[in-house]
Amino acid sequence: MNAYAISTHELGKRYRLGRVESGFHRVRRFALRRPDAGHIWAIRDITFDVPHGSALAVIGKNGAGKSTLLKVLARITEPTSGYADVTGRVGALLEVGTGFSPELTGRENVYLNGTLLGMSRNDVRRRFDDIVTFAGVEKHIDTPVKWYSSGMYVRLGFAVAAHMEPDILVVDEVLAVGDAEFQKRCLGRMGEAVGEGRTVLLVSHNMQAVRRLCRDALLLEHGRIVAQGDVEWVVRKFLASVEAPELGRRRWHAPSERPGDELCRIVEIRATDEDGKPSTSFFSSRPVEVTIEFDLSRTDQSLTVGFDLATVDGITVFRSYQTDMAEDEMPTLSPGRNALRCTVPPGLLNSGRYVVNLRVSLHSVKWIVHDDAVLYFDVVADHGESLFLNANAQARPGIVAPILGWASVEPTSDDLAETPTAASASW
Amino acid sequence: MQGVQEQAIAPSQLAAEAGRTHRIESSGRLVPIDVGELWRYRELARFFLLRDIKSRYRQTYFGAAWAILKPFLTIVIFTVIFGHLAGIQTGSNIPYALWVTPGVLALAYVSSALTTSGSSLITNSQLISKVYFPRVFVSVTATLTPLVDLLLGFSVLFGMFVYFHRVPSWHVVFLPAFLALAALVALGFGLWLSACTARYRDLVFAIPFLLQIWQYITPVIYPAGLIPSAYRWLLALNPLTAVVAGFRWSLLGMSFGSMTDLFASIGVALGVTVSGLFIFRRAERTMADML
Repeated sequence: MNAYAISTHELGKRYRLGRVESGFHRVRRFALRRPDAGHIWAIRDITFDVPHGSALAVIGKNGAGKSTLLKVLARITEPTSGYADVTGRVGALLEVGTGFSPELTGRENVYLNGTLLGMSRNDVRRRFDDIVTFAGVEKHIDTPVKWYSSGMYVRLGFAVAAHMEPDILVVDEVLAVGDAEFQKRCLGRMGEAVGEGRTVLLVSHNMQAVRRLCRDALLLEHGRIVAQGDVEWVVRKFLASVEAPELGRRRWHAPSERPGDELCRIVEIRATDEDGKPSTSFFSSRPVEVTIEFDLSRTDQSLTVGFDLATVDGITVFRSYQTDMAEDEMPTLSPGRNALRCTVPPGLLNSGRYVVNLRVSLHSVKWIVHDDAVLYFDVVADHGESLFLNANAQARPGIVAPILGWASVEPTSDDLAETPTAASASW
Repeated sequence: MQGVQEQAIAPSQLAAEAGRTHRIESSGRLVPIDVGELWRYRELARFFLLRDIKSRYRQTYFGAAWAILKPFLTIVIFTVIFGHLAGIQTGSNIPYALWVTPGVLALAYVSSALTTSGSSLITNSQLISKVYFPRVFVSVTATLTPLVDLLLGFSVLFGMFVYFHRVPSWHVVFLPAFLALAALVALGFGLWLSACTARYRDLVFAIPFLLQIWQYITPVIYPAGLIPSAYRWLLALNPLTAVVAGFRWSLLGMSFGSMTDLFASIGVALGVTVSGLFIFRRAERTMADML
């Protein structure tokens, strides 16, 4: 019996370029960076062990080989070299609702999806009621799923996946689908899986999820392992390694590299000062302007473009979308090239390094772009006119250091303060 | 530790896989299909079949009516053009319209099965790139689904029998055997086609043309006797010859021709299917990268 749930030895996957039109797509990114006479190693010399019952996160930039590694471990495609020994049954979840057929009813799809994920008919039957309750679609279970709302569809898909009981759970970016509530449930369910002693291998861009679920992590770069070990350390290394190639400006020159889908493709993101000059260091007394340029094939009312600002520890400071504005103030978008600028006001950020995580979605339907660490910048808190704050070389505790309003007000008289009801009423 | 691990696993067929170490590595060039795995995934074949049949008949307005109308109109056209205008002799006392029907039905099934099976991997590419399952099921279900069309098409044949005041011969008990042969031919060629279309998509466009040619080199609209005996052996290499002859023999009670031809056809069909399984297995390894 093997001591490890997953044990890989010099695993490698080589793709051939050209010849085949698609599949190529994902590979081309590599090609531009390091062409290899028509071949490209999406992953190479991957050696790691995952003990039974532990959770390992695989992180890295887009195109680092995370998805390829996952596909090899999920047996979707065969490796070119090396091997992976997998002990126990693998349940791979690369997408929610895989194989749902619009003509089939919810019930039939639960069975189809369940068997696809490796459950037997009896397994599905035994958990059927739980699945349906979990998804909250009891009333519509005998309706063809083509009449389902996208929310119901995703919920049912996830419910099936959540009820499979593999020994090894391999999960990709599934967390990046759906709204916050849904993501929370996904995370919760995966936490449970770990608690139940299953082995989890999670590929994610979501550093918070990674840190919450996994104790160990693996950092991939250009298809190779560059860091391996304690999750905090690896995440830190990853975020610190993210470089803004053009000083506060990141542009995807090749159309095939641009993150997005056929509706929306990101061309550039930059952090600039008020004069529009890209930079990687800002004073907190001055605004930081984040501009996102993108191509639209058509306009869509539910398209939200924005970003999460996070610390290098992976804690999200805030999220902002262009749709946060009141309807009449919302910037208009048109087919073709667009540029949206968001102003992070002065007197908000603390000293330290901030990371911009790009977020583009069709509101509560799907993520179009969910790429972490596309840009970073450093903030030096100078806090404008405050002598006290500036005199202190150390950063304020806290993720942000907002300058809030303080004023001298009329003190309340003693007898009023003694009656709590009156005090709360006046507040 | 491992013991605890195993107790947590659902008591089912899947438990058989638990605790067993599977090595993921590049397999050799020629590996046979893993029959044990097919058996473990058999439920999936059932649901694929259900899915394909439902979407086939729910989508079209006429649904089942279409499956009857198509062979019927084909038979009418063949009878007018080849039976009357060209005056092809069937070499028996059976009216041309009835004589041509079994062949038309058999050919319609095989071409429908081959078309769906040939493009089945592309139709299911979304699935193939997201989850592992024995991909051969996609091809197999694509081959089996049009059998429903064929069953509906038999109602045309029934109508013919009524119209011409005839009854099927007792040979009809052997019809399932020839149905199986037809399915085997469709499966074998379908495996080859789908394995190739995964890599070379253009082939999808060539399939209808190839099928058309195949129909003409198979004695459907003309009797095999029309071919000079010196070249008759070529017909035997075409496994559809035996399928059509078998359909005619079992339904109309016509003479079958030589047994050698039948065995040659079965041999070719088996050969194509077995080699198709190997080719498909080989393509399966990296199919997800191609689609």
